[in-house]
Amino acid sequence: MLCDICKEKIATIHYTEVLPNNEPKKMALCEACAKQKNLLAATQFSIADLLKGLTQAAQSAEDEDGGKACSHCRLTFSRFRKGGRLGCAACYDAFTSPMQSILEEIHRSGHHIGKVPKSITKEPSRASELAELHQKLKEAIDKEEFEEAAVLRDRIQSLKDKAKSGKTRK
Amino acid sequence: MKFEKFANSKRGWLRGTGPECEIVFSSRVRLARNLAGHLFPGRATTAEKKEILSEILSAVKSIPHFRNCTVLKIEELSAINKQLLVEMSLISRELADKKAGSAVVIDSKDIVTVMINEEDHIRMQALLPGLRLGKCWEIVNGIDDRLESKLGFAFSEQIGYLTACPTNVGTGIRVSAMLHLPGLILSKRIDQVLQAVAKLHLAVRGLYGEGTEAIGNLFQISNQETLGKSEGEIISTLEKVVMQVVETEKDSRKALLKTNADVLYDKVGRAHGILTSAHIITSREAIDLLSTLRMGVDLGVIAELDQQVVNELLILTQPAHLQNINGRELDAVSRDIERGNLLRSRLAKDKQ
Repeated sequence: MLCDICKEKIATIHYTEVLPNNEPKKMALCEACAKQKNLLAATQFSIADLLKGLTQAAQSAEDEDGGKACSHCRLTFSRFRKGGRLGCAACYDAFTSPMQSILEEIHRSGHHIGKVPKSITKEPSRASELAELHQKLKEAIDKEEFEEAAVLRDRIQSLKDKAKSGKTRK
Repeated sequence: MKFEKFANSKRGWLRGTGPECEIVFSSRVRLARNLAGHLFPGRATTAEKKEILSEILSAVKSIPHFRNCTVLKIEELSAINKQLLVEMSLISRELADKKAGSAVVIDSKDIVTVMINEEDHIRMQALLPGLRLGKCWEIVNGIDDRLESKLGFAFSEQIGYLTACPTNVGTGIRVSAMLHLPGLILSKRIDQVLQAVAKLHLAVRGLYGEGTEAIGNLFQISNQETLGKSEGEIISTLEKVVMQVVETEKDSRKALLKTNADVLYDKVGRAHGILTSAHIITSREAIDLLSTLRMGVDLGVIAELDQQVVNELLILTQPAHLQNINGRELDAVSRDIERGNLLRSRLAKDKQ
């Protein structure tokens, strides 16, 4: 693919630009043209630009939460949108609702799968949650509430899958 | 002083070999971690950053892997020395730009580096020659286990390891491979391949030299998504994609040898001619020609040269390395002259 601007060099930077009418437009640029467009701050294009181009959900969330600040580090949501970096771990809780749609947009997921620190052993609580779900499943089947039972069965399966991937260490 | 000893010893990942190293120059796995209970580096005061730094340094130094490691505090390094580390891919440009409170720890083999107070409190990476992503992960994962037992990391059960930028949250993993793809460029198949890779939600970027253009037919492929997939899945996806690109590059090279051998020999011969004769040569020209030469060596078009010599020259002709070899600061004009001298002498020496 050739660069959308110079039409000469190979495009190596792919991104979505939000036009003034709020329409997203897919762009492919070469390094030189991306640099000219100021897309490459030093070596990477700004995460702030990316965040600005995110979903309308995040857009409206900003209007609501723009003035909202993290109670721990006092970073405001609008400042985060401008700089693209959070101030502390507590920011994820402080901006939880817009963050969820931002994460979905970036990663196409909102749930962690993979390594879990050994210090956070969730096995006991997970085990008790599983036991509780199994109990409810049994009751639902007894009462012939099969729709409810199907939901419970899926939850048990996903919990088991989660436990399995959490333990994967290599 | 520590750094002089460090920079003068024969080091660097480009000197090694590994699976598919004709096309895959290097594999890298990087993890981002933050200490629970401290502000992220961008928001912390210098005093807090120094506190974080000493906490992490003592944890890192207590790990057996880091016996005889080198610890370099960013504020104590000269501009050239920082640039040297960037050229060796041992630190990021972002870390090089930091002030007091940031440092890097490099293990005795130049495989693992731990950057402290870059964008996150900890950025640890393993870098190996060839396609060895699984091995990189194994090394970094082991070090992460050790560090985690001494330092409490910011972690949420729902969204994983918490990072300063939401693009790294979850596993905090960035897996990348640097590929040399002259065959795909020459046969004009590169766009098609890069597009296919981008469709899989992987990032492709050209390598940066002195300027910002994609140079030397070098491309980096990396994962973009860090949340919702396990480390193993991310690594195996990238590995599969890299292998496909490698196969396509091999096919292209074979096809070029078969149908356009004269053109190929001419291109490699000219590159060799300029590199062994030029007296003034820019960084950009040198990398492009070394790239062509490297392909010639891989394909046996140039028999008398060793892959390692070309690799080494790719690094040694970079601005900070040239200045380090000459032991003084050089302006752009003098660099181009010294680069010519270096290339002529090294390539002639290898012939004997």
